[in-house]
Amino acid sequence: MDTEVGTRPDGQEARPTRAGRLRALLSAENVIAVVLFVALFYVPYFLVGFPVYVLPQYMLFGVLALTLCLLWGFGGMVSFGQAAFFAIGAYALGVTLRDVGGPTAPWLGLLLALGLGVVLAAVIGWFLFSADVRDSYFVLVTLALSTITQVLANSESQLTGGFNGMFVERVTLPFGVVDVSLAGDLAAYYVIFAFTLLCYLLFRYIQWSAFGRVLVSIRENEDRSRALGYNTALYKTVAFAVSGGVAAVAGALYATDAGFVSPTLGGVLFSTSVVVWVAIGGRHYFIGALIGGIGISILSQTLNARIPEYWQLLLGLLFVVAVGFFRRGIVGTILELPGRMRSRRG
Amino acid sequence: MDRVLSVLLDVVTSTLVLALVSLGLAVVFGLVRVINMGHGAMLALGAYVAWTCVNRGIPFPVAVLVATVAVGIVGLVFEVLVIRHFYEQPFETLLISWGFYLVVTELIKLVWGTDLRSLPNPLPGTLSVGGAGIGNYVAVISLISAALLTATALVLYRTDLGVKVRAMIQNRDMALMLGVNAPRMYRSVFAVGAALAGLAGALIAPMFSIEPDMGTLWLVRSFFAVIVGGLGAIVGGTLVGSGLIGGATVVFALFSKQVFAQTVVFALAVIALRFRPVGILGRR
Amino acid sequence: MAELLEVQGLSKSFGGVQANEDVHLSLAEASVRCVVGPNGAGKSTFVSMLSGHTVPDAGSIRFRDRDIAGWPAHKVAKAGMVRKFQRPSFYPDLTVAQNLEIPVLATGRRRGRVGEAVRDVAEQVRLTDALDVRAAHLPHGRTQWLEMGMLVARDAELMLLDEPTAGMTPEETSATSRLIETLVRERGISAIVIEHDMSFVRSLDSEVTVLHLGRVIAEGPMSVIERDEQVRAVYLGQEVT
Repeated sequence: MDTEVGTRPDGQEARPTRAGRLRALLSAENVIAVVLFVALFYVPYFLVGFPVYVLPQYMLFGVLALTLCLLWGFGGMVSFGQAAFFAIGAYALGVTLRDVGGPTAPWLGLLLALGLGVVLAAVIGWFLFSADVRDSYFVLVTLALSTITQVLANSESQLTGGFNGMFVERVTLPFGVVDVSLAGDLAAYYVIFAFTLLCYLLFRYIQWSAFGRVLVSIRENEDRSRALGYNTALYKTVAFAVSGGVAAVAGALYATDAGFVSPTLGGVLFSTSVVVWVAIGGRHYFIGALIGGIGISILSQTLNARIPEYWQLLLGLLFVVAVGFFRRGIVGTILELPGRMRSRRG
Repeated sequence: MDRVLSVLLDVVTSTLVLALVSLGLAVVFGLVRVINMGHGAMLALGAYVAWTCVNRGIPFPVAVLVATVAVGIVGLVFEVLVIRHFYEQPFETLLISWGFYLVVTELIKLVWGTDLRSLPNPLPGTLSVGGAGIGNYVAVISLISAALLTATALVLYRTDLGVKVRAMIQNRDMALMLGVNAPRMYRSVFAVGAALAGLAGALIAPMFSIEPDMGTLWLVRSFFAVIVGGLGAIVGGTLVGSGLIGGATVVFALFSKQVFAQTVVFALAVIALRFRPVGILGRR
Repeated sequence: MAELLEVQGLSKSFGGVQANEDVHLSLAEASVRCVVGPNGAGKSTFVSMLSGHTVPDAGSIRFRDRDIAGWPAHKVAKAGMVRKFQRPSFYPDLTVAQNLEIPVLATGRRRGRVGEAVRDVAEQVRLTDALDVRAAHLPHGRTQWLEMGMLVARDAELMLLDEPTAGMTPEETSATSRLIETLVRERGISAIVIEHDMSFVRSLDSEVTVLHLGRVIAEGPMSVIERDEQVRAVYLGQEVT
């Protein structure tokens, strides 16, 4: 170690300048996000019919991917159970609408979904993380969670409609002065668009916040963070609870938008899909997860009509490739290309 | 009394069937410390290969053998091509093996389609034990499972190979220094684990409907059985874990629906693992 | 004035092996104590009990007049006693600035002041030029300093340094000794240093506690320790320094 080194680099402004902050704001990641959301916003202007009908569902899948991204990409915890929260939220709204009814039922249903998601995740999370269980146990428990959710949804037909599923109407959300009905596809589209945008901003805020940075440090070296004074079990639990809650609300919105909830929505296969989306899209960037969720869903929709078996096989192979060799996913690799080229040259 | 005997028999057969299914997972997990999520798919593959053989007129026992070897080869290929690059990163290996599960499941759908298939019971009829009855076939499988467990234990504790394997489990670095060829051993172990999965899949095929996703629930159950039984305790752990998971499910199913029984058992296992993460027979 | 740290009767055994027996130590503010002893003396166990990574069988650890024996690691660190591990332990894929930012965020500073605190610490540990470098790319000696910087960034009142000069060149070692002195003098931090390198211990010019087979066999300034018959006997055959 050169003990003479450590002089302040010449002419370098130590404090973040306005120009620096602007550059950060206009990062490639943010540009991609703006492009995506603008494109999504204008879809109903250029396309009618099926795209406007189905895209809200895919946007909600994207939100589901966002929740996994927080857990996995930032917190280092792979969950094979996000679909379980999605389904629980969906059923929560469905059951509330059916058994409670009335104009406030939609809000109650959404609130119930949020509550169930947060509480279930918090309880399970705290139970596991406070004992410092190894990663593979967490995977196993979330896997079991999906299995149990699907199996229970199937068997409790009184509550959930069982194997045949549950039909859910398009709700009307009372906002005090005005009622927003989701009955029309256009209204549903923009309400869900707004929700998706809000979720994306929420997760980006978390990423920027102290909580988000500490969460990343826990992923990088949990022992070190713990030995710096952080109650890492608490951080992981909160991350899990946030993910569970948002996933559940997304599921509730899905229920009313798609109109139908079935037990497979909460099962292992769907949970797996979420992991695949985030792995291929990019686990270290929320926009990567979002694009992965929405993009792959769109591709699946179009390609499933023509080459269903081969498409799923291709997805499986892409997943193996992404996890094994391209950890950053498609979006991540693209975003980090300039940096890697620069460091290779420099 | 008959009832008790009947329940006891159910517990024993459930245990042995689950142990049969879980042994492949335990072997790979115990030695390589990798949770092979592809285990469920290899189970399904074994069932499908056996089904195809039987449909071509091949007698069932031979079909089982073919399935075992075929799936063993598939596992070997996967190890050589992919897994062996990732042993240093156990968590990525878990995910990659899940990818393996996806790929194999999709290949199964491509080759065999998604319709439910079934294999006729090779040994119809029931055996009478005491006053209770168990299916002939279930009894035979249980015996095969017991034999397999015993054979594994013998290999592990009575052969040179077994000594090396146990050395690797207990202290990898030391074993390497003593000249154990790790890559070759890992390869063999993975292939053996795959073959065991294929064998189990073929054997249980007549008992359940054959579909591409049939391995998923078995994966979760054997995952639990192996972890509850204990890390690194391959034979004993599998037996104890299967006994607890399988047995408890049978007992709880007496009082409630099967699905509730499964759920309760999983929940209890999760709770138990939280307090004793190494499992019953495991060591850190 | 009450001591910063007061350890009495600390004991721990692992399955029949008495790793620590009736260990005592007291440390004032802004001072350094070295803990030495041959391999197997129980130094690591001692530090582990202080930092909250091991629960003592008996004894008390009073830090700022609170008995923290048995507290979990994060609680101890939060109270102001922070450990630098023997093995390298930082965030290799994060930049130096990000590494230092994590402990600063735990101090409750306002958002605007965080960057300033990071730069301040970086300057102290001579890493200002490497703020945007990924920590994994730093040479070993600098990562040791990075880790110490993280302790300082955490506003640690007592640093537990577990073999801080392991793997360092002689120049780096003496620089480290000066760094510790500076930290004590300028920031009032105290330190407990586990060490094998006797010249480093000597250069720190502090009180020394000698452990042997889990017990304290000698305590005092280095000059006195060096002449202690029992210490010499214990170290016979060990390093010749």
